[in-house]
Amino acid sequence: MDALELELKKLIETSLQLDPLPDTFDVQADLFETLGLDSVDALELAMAIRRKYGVEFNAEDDQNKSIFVNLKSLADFVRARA
Amino acid sequence: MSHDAADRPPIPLLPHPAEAVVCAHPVRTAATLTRHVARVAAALGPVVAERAVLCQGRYAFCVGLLACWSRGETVVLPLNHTPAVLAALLDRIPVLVDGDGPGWDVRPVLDEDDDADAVLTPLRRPAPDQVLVRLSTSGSTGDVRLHAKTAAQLLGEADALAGVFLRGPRAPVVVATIPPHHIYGLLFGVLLPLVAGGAFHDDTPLFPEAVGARVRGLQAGVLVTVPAHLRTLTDAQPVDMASVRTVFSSGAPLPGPTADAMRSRFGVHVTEVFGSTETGGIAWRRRADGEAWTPLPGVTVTADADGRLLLASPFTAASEPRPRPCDDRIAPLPDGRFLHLGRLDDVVKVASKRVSLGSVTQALLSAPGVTDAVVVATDAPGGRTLLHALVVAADADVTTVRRFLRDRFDAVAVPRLHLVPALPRDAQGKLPRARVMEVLAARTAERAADVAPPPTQIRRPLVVPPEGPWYDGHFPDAPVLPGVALLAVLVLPALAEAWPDLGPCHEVRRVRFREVLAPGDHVTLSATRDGASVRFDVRRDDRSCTSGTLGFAPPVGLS
Repeated sequence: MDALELELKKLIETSLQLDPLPDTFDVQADLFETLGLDSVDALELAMAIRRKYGVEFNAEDDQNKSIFVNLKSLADFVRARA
Repeated sequence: MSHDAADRPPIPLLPHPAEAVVCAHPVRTAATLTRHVARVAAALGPVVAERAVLCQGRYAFCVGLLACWSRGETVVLPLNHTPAVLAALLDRIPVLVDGDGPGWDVRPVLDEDDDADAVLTPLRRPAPDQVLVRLSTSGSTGDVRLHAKTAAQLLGEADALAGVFLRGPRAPVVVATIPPHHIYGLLFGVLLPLVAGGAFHDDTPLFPEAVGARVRGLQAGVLVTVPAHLRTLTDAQPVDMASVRTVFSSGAPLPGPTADAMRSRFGVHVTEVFGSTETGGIAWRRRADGEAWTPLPGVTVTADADGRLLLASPFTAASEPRPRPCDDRIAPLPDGRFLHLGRLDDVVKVASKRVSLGSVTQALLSAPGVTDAVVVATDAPGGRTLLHALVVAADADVTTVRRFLRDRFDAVAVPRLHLVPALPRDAQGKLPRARVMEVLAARTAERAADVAPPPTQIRRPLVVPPEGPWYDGHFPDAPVLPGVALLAVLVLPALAEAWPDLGPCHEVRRVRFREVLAPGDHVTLSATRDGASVRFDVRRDDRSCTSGTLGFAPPVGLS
């Protein structure tokens, strides 16, 4: 897990009130399946990411969904936009 | 009445002219919808009593709905689309879908070339006593209850809503951020635009950027949404909602700051709607007018000695008692309005869906490996409700338990799971809520302090309110927004929303009012915060109208 992925993992834990995830958490693991997240969780997380990194999401939700697939795709998105 | 029902001309279901748009994206006219409904109705084979419509797209859903109704069939709308529910449904009745997988796929019919020469038989309104839909809710023990709605109830309510809220000369485009499979999304996202001669759209945008793009692209006049979605909408920067006149919110109370932010950023007073699957719509309110709820037309609300809501409504089933006792506690006001004080059962609203804490606890206790469990609802930032479960399961892992729940419940009803060695039961075996909350707080305390700091700079598009008392007495023929009012109604609420820790404004320094603002003007507020002081600039078309520095309450310890 690189520095940004670690930072995002922390952001997920705080913004969604989850128990701390292990540092060995698989960055390719499906976030919604593994953590049991729903669409409002995705919105909350997006809001936290928007505030922290000043990034904007897409005008098409299909593209947004692919960003939230796993920690790695989330980090790639923030790196590309921030 | 001396006339036979057969003598009266049939009432058309769509008030639209044939070429009027019914679905704004992708564009479908009333004529196309009518043809698609006829084709699906003809292709479905023998008439059945019940058919489930699970289509995700709002247009395909609407075609399926109207096709079933035209055949006299009742549409079944299940509680959710989880694997367990779908399997049980497929065993029992035919299912309409607009995707791959089991069920009758409507897409090939909708994809066929539009046969503009076909003779159109206008869609008629179903007879008042025809059962149009059967909706599901979950009871407190996890049992599923069914609620039949006749045409009189369902279309009667859509007519009433159109009469109260959509009386303008032009029928609007309605953008909905919630799917059409539940009562609120069905009534407000599909039936309301249909009976009002307006248009809906096919998809269900969720992210603020996506909602903004739909609203702007379709010049939508109405937004149908829920508090959790509104909150993120007011937090995002680039959303353009200039065309929106009416915003509906339902499912949970709208937090005050979100209502204020919608007013200051978009110039819109959100209309909150209170109701339930069983009862239909009950009442509505706008936060700026106070906390009280106004019953919908024809609805009367009273209370029994315990404050239990007693409902007399044309939108409840004829078989139900009148008045009908509900599970809400209220305080009636002398003018017929009422205050809502809470629920009388263990049901909480999570992301606008009703969840019975008892039913989730029962399911947890039946999960393999779980020996004890408790579920509580807590308040999270922004008026959100979160479910947490303390779970004792020596021989199971969190992922397995979570999957067990996800197969049975909506994602929103699946709590945050915390594995603990034992529950804090007292000597009588009871679980005092305070002790459960203590355990929970200990689990989350270490992370509470570590929240992203708010930005020091903000940029917000704002709309000068179209009406308000501050215009009175200045220049009646050319209303302008006085400088002090500009600060009070536009600037200060936006700053308080961006930086909730700012105290009251104590000092106004170097403020210049360069250009006057008129009702409805679109402006951009930029602000930079430095400790307890904020520099701001309000611009219209890139010209600075007002700028200055505001001093806020000094930090504690310096006063």
